[in-house]
Amino acid sequence: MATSAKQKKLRSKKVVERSTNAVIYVILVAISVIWLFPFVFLIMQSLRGELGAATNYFFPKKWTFDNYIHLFTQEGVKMNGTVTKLPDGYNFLTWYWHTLVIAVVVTIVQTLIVLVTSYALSRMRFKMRKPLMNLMLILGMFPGFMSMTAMYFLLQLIGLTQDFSIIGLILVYVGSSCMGYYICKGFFDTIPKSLDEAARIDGASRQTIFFKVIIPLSKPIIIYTVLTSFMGPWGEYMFASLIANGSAKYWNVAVGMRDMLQREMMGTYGDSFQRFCAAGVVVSLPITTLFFILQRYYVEGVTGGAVKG
Amino acid sequence: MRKRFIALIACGALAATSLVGFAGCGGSGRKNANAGTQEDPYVLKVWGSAEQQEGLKQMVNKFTTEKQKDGKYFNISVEVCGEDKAKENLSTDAISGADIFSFANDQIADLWSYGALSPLTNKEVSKLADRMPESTVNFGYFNKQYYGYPFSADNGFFMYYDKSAVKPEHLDSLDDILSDLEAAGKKFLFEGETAWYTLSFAYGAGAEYEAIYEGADVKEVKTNLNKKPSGSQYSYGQLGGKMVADLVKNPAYQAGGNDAISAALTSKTFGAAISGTWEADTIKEGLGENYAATDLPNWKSSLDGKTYKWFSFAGGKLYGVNGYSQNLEAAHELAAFLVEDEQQMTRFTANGIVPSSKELANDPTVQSNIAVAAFLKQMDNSVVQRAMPQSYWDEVGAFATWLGTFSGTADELQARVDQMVTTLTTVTPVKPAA
Amino acid sequence: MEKTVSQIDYLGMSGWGKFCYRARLFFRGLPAAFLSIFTVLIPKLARKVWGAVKGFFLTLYNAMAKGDWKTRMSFAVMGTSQFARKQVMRGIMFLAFEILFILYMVVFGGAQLSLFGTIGRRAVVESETVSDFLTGDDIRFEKIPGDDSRLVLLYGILTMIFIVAFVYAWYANIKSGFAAQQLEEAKQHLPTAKEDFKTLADAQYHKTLLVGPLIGLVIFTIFPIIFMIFLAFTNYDVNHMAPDKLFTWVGWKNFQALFAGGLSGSGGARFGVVFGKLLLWTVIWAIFATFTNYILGMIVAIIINKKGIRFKKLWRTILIMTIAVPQFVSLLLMSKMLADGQLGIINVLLGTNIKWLTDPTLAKFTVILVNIWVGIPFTMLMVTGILMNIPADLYESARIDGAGPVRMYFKITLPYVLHVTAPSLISNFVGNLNNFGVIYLLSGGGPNMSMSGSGGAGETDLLITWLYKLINDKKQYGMASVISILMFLLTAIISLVVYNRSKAVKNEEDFM
Repeated sequence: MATSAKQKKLRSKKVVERSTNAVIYVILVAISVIWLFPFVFLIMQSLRGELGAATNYFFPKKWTFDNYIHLFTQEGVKMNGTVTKLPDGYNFLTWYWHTLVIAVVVTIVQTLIVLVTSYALSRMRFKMRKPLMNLMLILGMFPGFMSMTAMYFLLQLIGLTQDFSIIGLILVYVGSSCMGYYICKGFFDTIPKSLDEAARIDGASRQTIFFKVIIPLSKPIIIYTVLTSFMGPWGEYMFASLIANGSAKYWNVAVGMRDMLQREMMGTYGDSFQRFCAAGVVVSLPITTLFFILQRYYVEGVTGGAVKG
Repeated sequence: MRKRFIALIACGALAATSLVGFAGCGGSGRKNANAGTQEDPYVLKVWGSAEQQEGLKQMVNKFTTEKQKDGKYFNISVEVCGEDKAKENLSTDAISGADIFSFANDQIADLWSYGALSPLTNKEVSKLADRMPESTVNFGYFNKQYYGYPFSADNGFFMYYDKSAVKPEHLDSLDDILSDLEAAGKKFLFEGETAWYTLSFAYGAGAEYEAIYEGADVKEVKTNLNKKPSGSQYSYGQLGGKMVADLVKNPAYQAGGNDAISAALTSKTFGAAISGTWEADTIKEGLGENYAATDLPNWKSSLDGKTYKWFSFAGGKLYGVNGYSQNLEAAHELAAFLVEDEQQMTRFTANGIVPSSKELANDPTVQSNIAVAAFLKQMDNSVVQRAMPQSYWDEVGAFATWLGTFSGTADELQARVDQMVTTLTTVTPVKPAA
Repeated sequence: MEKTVSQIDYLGMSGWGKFCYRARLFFRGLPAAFLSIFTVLIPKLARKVWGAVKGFFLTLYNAMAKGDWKTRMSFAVMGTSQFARKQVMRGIMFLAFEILFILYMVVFGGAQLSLFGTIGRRAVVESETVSDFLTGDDIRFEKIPGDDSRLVLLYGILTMIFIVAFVYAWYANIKSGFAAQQLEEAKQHLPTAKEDFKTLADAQYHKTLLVGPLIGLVIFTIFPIIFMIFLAFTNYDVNHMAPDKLFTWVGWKNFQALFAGGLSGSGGARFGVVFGKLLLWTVIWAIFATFTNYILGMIVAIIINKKGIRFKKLWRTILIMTIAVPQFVSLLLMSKMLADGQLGIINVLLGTNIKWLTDPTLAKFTVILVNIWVGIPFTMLMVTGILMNIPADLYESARIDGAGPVRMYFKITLPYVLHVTAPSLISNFVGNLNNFGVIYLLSGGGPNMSMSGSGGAGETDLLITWLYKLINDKKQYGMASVISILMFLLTAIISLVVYNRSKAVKNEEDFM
């Protein structure tokens, strides 16, 4: 008797367990559909052969790769079956190249700055440490683009607008990156202090500790910082547009793609929306790939940093 | 030691910036004018929209070769920068902007306030006046001077329609058109809830709005939107506003700009649309042989039962010469060249841009374009869209949104019109600088 | 007075009970924390500033009174004391700094400062052009640029920053000179340049590390912020667009105009009313955006991590797409998908005509919904990591006590996660107050407010997107600066209060 009651209980427990799991799977599938829908739609639109703005049907009626090909061959925009030539400098490949260069340089410099700042704030004790941390916290609360006018003239003063807008943009993006020390410092705080002390007893200087003790232990947070700083420049529109001051030669992908959308809105019955989508896919590719490969570290980094934060 | 270190930093920063400061001092500001010789040609930069780049380049090349014969040498670059973007760029930095750029006539007050416009001489104005209607030349008139070379007069709206859905005898009456469309199961597309279109009924009934400028400052705003036309017990704002509110509720009505028009064409629900020449290609391709266009119909007010006209705005685009151009006279020369009849014709064939020249308006090729013909017909019933302060668009936009859901009494409507007029006519003049 | 339980009682509570207790403490203390900004923080700050000022003058006085001629000479010629005591490197640096500074002020800075009082003096001049293009009696005037008020302001602020830096260096020079004198008198060893450098890799390593980042901070963050604050006191607007016209100081006029109206070039726009409306919506938005993301993100993370659920990595990867694809692509596409009626694919697939982004009330829900779509993956990732980090022995001891999975979840998992992630709520909240991207890309602030005098503000506009409109469409730089200063004060106060409060609560007892 006793055993069968126990079995019954076990079985009913199993049933409950199974049904909860089933419900969870349903929820997860629903979530996946909702989350993936826009991206699949993006890909569908980028493969669409019909002209015109965004469609209200999901699958293209005519499949084509032309949108991608035209993006890179710099073929003109289609209007009513005729192809108008695109102006010089109006070139997606150039914009892509600009953004890539900016993103790579920003990633390197920003990661360095963040690591260095976080180390100083996490491991060293000096009089201005607390005030400095408070100051950076407070500065972060000012609305960023209020600084645009000042920034533009500052860069113009050094001659870094238009022709040298890439350098100017890098400076703008990198300029205040030490304010992003928060998560990285949180991560450093979780590394036991005893390691430092042991090294100091062995006669290591602060510099040696930074390079030989802390950095080797910080792979997740370094990758986290690299990922986030690499992503930033791809979507930045406002400063890029301001500093390029008009010329398509100096744009980045965001400004260029924004222009594709705007021209489509101005009423040309063309294929620039499809190109926008194709460009969106091409822009997302490197970041998404990086993300998939480095996902694990991202999680470790953000948790390590946020837990202590 | 810390102190010393900070001193070191500050020292470096100071050295760097002071050097830069000296360099920047010489670098900013206007460059020197060129001589126009072979060794030192006039350097000019032209901004135009992406669509017109090719044409613009050909025109510029033609200009360069022609002038070379006279012994004047030019080095002209053409860059992509449409009207809105040009205005944005000039607002931050007029001095390093292009020498010549295109702009819409209602942007003139803003551009003027940036110092981005150089006036035309009397001779240049009279040359334009010989070829263009007075109203068109006046697009460039602001603060007692003329500031632009009109190259198109196409900023207005009229009606496109599907020949198979609207009976030709009904084209004069909005009500008839709407009932035809409803019967045919098709849509009437109009952006009634946006600032640019919403007062078009009121203007048709006789409403007026004028912002009087003194410099870039609005000194006074005159409008009769809250006044009653003679013989009616309702104000212009009430009449026009009620019409929008009624129209929005009509089953055949669909709010729609470019996206909606494309979608309606694809789903075969396009019956009629109120828009400008920029939609001509889209609609022509979508409707095929049923494509037709004409001027705006008359409308009947549900308030007083009278029939009124429906007005369009009239505006155009001009080439402006940057007030800070280093080769001011050369730039004016090029701008004047860019609006010559021949160039206007090129623009018309390539991009369907309605010419501003009197002669070209009567040209059979121009007249044979259905959309352009309808547009020119509409221009008899239109109000010129002069420089208007941003507050006009903000306030009328809010009114338009309000109308979208309005279903109250005429008194409530009048109250809202009064509010709008109060806001529109409130001006805080800038005190004259001491 | 806060009602506190004794240490023993607290330790006797369950994990969940502890969390609730702390949460109660947190909210009860909020008003007091707000007051403490004025009663504690500001006086403390004032005392610190006063202490620093006193220290500054005391050092100068001591150096003057007790210093020898070398130290005293340093007041006029920087570096004298160091040169005289054979600290040549230091001496050179101080002297060079002084020379450069004087040079800068004479050649450039002084002139700029003199313009600062009126923000520029010389307006644009029009002079006749001489050109062979003009014939006969044609005359044209060309513009000769005058002072650009923006540049005057810019150079003025730069010069002021240099002056502050110089005063500090001058002070450092005297202090270091006097310290050297004292060391000499005590017959102690004076550090050589080589020794100075060596400490920079060790005890003073933070200076080496922070020089670069801080220079960047001053130039690219602090300097623009000072510029912006100054703008709030000028009449830089559509009627005073530099470089064509000069703008000048107007005192507190912009602040008055925000509440009383009457700003030139703005028609009858009622900034005060709009500001109030948008402030309310901004706060509501921030609360909803933060908590929906937090709670839902946590639920998603927990169900993905539930034992027995397979393909964990797949589910996570799907969600991560939102992070990896740039927002301006995904959100602009979203705004097209959510279009009205037949235009938007979502309405077509659902067979509805929902005015997602054009109905004033619904649009507010829509932006919050889409923000959930954007935000859940971030929370999910963070919580996932934390779940992996929960110490296994917690579960072990609970199992020994005979706790089932449900009890363990409520007793251990949930309180642990809440405890660890609560601080991130604060930064998320502040971030959402200034969440420009989502609103700007998705709804653009639309639909328009239907109120008269709304000045172009939309129903879903946050203060920050409105600010952008004020600058971009209306060129109301002065007013925009006023609003951003107010916004800054708001965010700063909120985060100070909440931050201090949560720290106070957290410090009372660590988890477990």
